[in-house]
Amino acid sequence: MEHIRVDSITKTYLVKQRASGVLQGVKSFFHPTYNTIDAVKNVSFSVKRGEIVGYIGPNGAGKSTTLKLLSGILVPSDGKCFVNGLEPYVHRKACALKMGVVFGQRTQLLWDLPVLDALDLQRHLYRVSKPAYHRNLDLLIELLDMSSFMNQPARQLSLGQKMRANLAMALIYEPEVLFLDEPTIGLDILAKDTIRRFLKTINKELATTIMLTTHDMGDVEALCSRLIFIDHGSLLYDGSLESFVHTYSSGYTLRVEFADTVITKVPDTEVVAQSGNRVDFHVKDHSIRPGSLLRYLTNSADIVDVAVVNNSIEDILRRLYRK
Amino acid sequence: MLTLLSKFVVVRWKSRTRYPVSFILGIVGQWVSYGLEFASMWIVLSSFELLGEWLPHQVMALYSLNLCCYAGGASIAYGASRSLPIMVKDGIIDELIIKPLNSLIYLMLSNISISYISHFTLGVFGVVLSWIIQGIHFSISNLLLLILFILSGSVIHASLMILSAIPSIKMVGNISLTAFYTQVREFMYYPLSIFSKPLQFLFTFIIPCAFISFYPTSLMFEISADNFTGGWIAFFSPVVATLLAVITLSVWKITIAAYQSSGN
Amino acid sequence: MIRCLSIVKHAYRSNSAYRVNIVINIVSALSSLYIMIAIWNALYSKDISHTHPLEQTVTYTILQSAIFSAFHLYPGRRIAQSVYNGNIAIDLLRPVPLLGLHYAHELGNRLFRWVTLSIPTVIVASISYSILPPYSAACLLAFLVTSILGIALFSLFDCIVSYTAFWIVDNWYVNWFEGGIIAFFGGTTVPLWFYPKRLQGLLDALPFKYMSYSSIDIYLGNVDASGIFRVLYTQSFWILLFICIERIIWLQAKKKLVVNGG
Repeated sequence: MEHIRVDSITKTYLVKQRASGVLQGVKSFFHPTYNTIDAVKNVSFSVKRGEIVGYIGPNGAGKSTTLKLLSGILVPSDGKCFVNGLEPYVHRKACALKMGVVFGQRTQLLWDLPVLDALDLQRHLYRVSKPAYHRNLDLLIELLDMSSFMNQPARQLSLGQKMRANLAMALIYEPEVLFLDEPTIGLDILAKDTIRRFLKTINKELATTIMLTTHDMGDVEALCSRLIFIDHGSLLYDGSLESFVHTYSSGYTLRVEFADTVITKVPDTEVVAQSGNRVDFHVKDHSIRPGSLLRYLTNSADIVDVAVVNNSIEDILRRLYRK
Repeated sequence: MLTLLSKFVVVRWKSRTRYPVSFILGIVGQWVSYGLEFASMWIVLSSFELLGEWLPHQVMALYSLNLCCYAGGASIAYGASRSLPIMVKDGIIDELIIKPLNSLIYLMLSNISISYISHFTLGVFGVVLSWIIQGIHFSISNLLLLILFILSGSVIHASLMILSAIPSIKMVGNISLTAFYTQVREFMYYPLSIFSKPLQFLFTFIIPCAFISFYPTSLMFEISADNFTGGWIAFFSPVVATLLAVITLSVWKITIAAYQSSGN
Repeated sequence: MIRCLSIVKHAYRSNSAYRVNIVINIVSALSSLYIMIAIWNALYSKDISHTHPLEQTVTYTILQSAIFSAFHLYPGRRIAQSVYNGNIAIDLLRPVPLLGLHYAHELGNRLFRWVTLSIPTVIVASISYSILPPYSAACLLAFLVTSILGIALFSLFDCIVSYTAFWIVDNWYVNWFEGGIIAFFGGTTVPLWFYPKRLQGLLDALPFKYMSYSSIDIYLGNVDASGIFRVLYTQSFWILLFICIERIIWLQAKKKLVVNGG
């Protein structure tokens, strides 16, 4: 069953061109000229109930914009999107009741309100029945390990605690879909782990559809069965994680550590990383065999160490982002 | 919705009264500040005879009712109006839009303030005192009328506060239109009839703040208005209040819709 | 000294960033003046025979709000605020005496208000209303001297009051007490000559009337030569007293300084 559907959605921003100088400034006040920025261009995809989708792409690719369109914050310039059959920017309140949104650093908690009180407020706001509320509350406190700071006001919480509290705020009313914008940003490895495990459990227990944007490949590897890759507003890939790795990772990468002279210009290869004397050469489609490449390199310079590096999602993305 | 309101008020109360001494002294401080300022005005009013057609205690009633309504309006609107200029920048606006409640209502509720209890109590004190001096009966009908005027006056103050702050959502560089609201409020502490005719027209028909305190007080103290209206115009206060509230909500909706389509 | 001047200049410049605000401020100040003068006109129209004529009262109002409000220096409040948010640690590191530092900042801020707010307001007000010229050249001189002393007196008083911040960290309400007292006893809203005779003794004993009321009274020619000297003595007395009190409190405060950071 289609839970989320995006139909050729486009979002264009008009940005007023800044004028330099006084005369231009006056002119631009009366006749402003605009630049059009296509934040999202003709993007289409659909998500089934219970899927966890990773929505990745470089900064400015259009990820946050898509989430804002799906959560009803923005109205599309063209095209439509549906969450559970309703357009979120049209049926704002009805969708809001079934949707949980967590935007990375921004918090839904009120400054000097203890977490428990904030959750109680959510109960009234989202019309959660008392038994459901208490059931969810106990579950969330346990899964997110929040018992130590339930009575502390938001301003006293650490970043990790705030994130967990925000997740609790978004899930206390059992939304059908959860939109997360960079949920693990700035957190230490333990906190990230807690949140990833939490999301996986929620998804399993409550069949919550989750769509998250992230730069952290650990999130993707731990959570997502499906990956959507967007860049410059256009959808470039939509499929499973494995085939993403397979599609984009043709060839191999040879990591070479040079003694002194560093060679970077090798025909038919691409340098994907370089730090100090270490260079990662990527060869596409096995056009050159590893042995030939190695022989070429040893003939041209002194080599200290060499290794074949597996194509991690990060490597793939690094190459893709650079394009 | 009422439960939400009470929850927010309780929360605000809990956080303010965590330092009870500071809270109480703040209240007393504001009593002293407003009280002494009016006291110096009272001395002057008493040494003359009339301010326009108004006796000193009637001016006190006018001043006090405005203070009450300002307190009522500011309790729900001041915090909200303060957060408007940074709303887009700090992402507050996104958080408001995704709530399953009218965004303006939620904004006002979550920014509710109980600090105006000082203004309110002082205002009530002033009104009661002036009634005693004038000899107005504390009958049920008079009290109900007073409550009605306080409610509608508060709504007018709240609407004006929000309306004057809405432009700052889109404006760059901290330009404050709320200064206009503050100035208008200053005018309302004194009888409208002492100001020029164009101003009287302005404050009756364009920025209808005279309905907050001037017309109600004229009615209650039966002061003949030498302007172009009779005492019954005060009964329009609730109408004006409702109208302004509707206008405020509409302007707000338009502003949000503009944000939703432009993204900034 | 040069460092102080550069701080003044810096504070001045940082204020000029928002030009529209300047216009808004002038309009606000003028409308406040309008309200007050409308009140005077209405009051005097029913009761013309009063000890002080309308023109004097109007002139008082204009001078009081346009000049003295602009020049009320609040270095004490700046210090109180920096205690509250912990910046005082940084301030104390600077190679400038703390009070001097904040005075300089305040002076820069206020100079800006003076140029962009008070002067335009007085100009417009004197065109619109009948503002009286100084009673004589001597009165004008005395007015200027006593004004400067009055401003110093005010800022010292504010300092002492604001130093409560060192003991009561959250001392925002103190300003309201202070404001109310100065409004009532110092004549910042209405001239003190309206107050009944029984209160005049109290007003003379307190320092507040010498902060701005006396200076304007001199300007209007209501005070004779001996009266002017009495004002000068009284102002000097209170200033010296306040300086002593301020220094004593400051020494105590330094000992007690708990920087409330984080």
